[in-house]
Amino acid sequence: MSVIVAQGLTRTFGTGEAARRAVDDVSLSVAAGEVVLIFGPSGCGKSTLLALIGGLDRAFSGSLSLFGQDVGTLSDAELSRLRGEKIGFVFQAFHLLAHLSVIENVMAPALFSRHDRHEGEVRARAGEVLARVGLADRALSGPAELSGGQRQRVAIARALLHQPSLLLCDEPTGNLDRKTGEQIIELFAELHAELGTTIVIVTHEERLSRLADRTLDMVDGKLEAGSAP
Amino acid sequence: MRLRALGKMVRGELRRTRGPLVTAGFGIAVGVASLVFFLALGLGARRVLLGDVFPIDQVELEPKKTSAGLIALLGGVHEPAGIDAQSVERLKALPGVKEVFPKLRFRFPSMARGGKEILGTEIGTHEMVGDGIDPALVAGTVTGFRDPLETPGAECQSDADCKAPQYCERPSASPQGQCSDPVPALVSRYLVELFDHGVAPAHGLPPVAETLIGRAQGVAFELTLGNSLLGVARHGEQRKARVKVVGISPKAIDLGVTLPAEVVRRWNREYAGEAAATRYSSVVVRVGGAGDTGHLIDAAAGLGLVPHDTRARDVSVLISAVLALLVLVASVILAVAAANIAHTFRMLVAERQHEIGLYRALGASARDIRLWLSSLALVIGTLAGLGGALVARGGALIADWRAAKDLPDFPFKPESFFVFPWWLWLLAIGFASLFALLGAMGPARRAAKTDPAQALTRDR
Repeated sequence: MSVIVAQGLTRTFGTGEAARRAVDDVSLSVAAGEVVLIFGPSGCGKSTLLALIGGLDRAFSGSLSLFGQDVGTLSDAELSRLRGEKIGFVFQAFHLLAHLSVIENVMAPALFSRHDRHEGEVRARAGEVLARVGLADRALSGPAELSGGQRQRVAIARALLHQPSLLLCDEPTGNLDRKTGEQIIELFAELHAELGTTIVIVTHEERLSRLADRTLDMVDGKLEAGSAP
Repeated sequence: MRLRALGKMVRGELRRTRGPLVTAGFGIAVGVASLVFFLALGLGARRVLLGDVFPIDQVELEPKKTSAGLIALLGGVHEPAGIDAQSVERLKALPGVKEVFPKLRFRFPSMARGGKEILGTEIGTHEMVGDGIDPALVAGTVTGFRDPLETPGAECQSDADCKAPQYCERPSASPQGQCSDPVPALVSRYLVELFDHGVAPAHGLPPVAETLIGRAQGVAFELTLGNSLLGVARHGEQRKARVKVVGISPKAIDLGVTLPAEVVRRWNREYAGEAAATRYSSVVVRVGGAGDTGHLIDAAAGLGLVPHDTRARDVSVLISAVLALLVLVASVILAVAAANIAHTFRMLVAERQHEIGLYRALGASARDIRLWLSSLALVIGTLAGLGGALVARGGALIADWRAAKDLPDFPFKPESFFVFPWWLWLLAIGFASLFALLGAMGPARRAAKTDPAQALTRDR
């Protein structure tokens, strides 16, 4: 079963002569459990593509289906629910909330969950995922007290809180040094092996290709088949 | 978003941004404090002026006045028109009318003398004004207000035949009378206030405060019937009756005494003829609210009746106008405060673009974001409203304390110049919440429209 099906997906910024196609007629299908890497240099449109397939940006033309649901026909509430329940995001800039502790950051997605789970239950689950990424002992620390690699682990733990079916990662090692980046790559590999989560990673770092079942190259908004991993 | 999660987010935001939010809430609190203070003051003024001095919810109607001089010139005798029982019934049936009580005014000259028990010296008036009302109208509020001849005593020819404090109630030209208890009388608070703050100081007499009157219930005075400084009655003979004050009542005549209607009916018949005994001199109509007064006056005009006194309406209009002005000032303060809230929330939303974008990525819908910020504004508004109302209450207590301490005694000086009904507290909180919400509405809507993709990719 395909988790993502995009047909002629296009995203244009600006109008008239200033119009620029950041994503240009992209067709893509990602099967459940697949790990897909999209390579491309900065500004090629890969983050825009990730925002589209994560349902964060709806100003597209073409068609996009997530988990069999046509994104174009979903209401904002339905799409938000889909995002909250089935999709996890990992960003290059981590996007941790500085005023919250590590465990509270991991628990943040539960604030918007439609399921009435007791706070203790959510906290226990957050503790579990923190332990999984090796940060159980930093649960009460603030994000500012952590290294870059640790922050990205917290972001991954946050993305995993609801056991998402799809993990979308935007340059997950972009802000990390080589060694820390390797550790994060290892973590993704382990998580995929354990959970079978579908993962789409956009990056410009070739070293991530060893994770992938399939790689694609993005050039000037167009998606091309990449070299095999 | 679930309520528990919403509460958690709002609490977190209050902790995190308390400085700017307190400043924003302060403006609302000041506006609400002004609004509540002015409204409570207005209600207090209304209570005294329209409750005690010029009751607005009751109108005394009397037949339209004709020129006595012109009638006399045409050779007739001036006979007041009076109001018949049928007109009273029609007034009772009017919409908005709660109570109608007809009055029989004294249609004979009289004088009074007494008060030694309370004042230490006898005082009197050479011209006594009075009226009579149905005792049922004051049942439950005053005891002993009934026609004393309902239970007449022994037959008599003079007061000497009766046992004190009874007197011989013997109508003019009648060979025999009946011993009667003193006629019960009601006085108005207006009269008491006027005496205490006007007459008593001028004559070096002690004030007759309400409590003193209460203690002195039973004080009797002598009423001379059929004669006064201005002349004697056309019929009947001058004689004396005993009267006893039994209470203070808002239904009593402002200046004079109010007796049971049957007593006045008998005396009017004795001194002014049958018409004066059967036709009421005026009717007091109590309406549901000030708004009904206008309709009543219009309907009464159709019955040939006009208000005895329109000061209540004039005062009501004046108070309403002043109140409206003060409320306008308070509303301007609240509007400025709402603008301040709007500014604070705009800043907050601008600062939180990444955070809002992240929340959207984590599953928050646009509605969740709007709900979060609107709830935050509501909480600020509620707290500011409550705070403002408490400040107003504190200000009122201080004002009352200063007034009691520094203002000289004057007629109808109230214990408190303010009235704080329960709905005023709700109004304060409601207004504060409304203005806070109005201020936050725009920024909340803008926050809900935040493009998460852009917010998350923007440089931090």
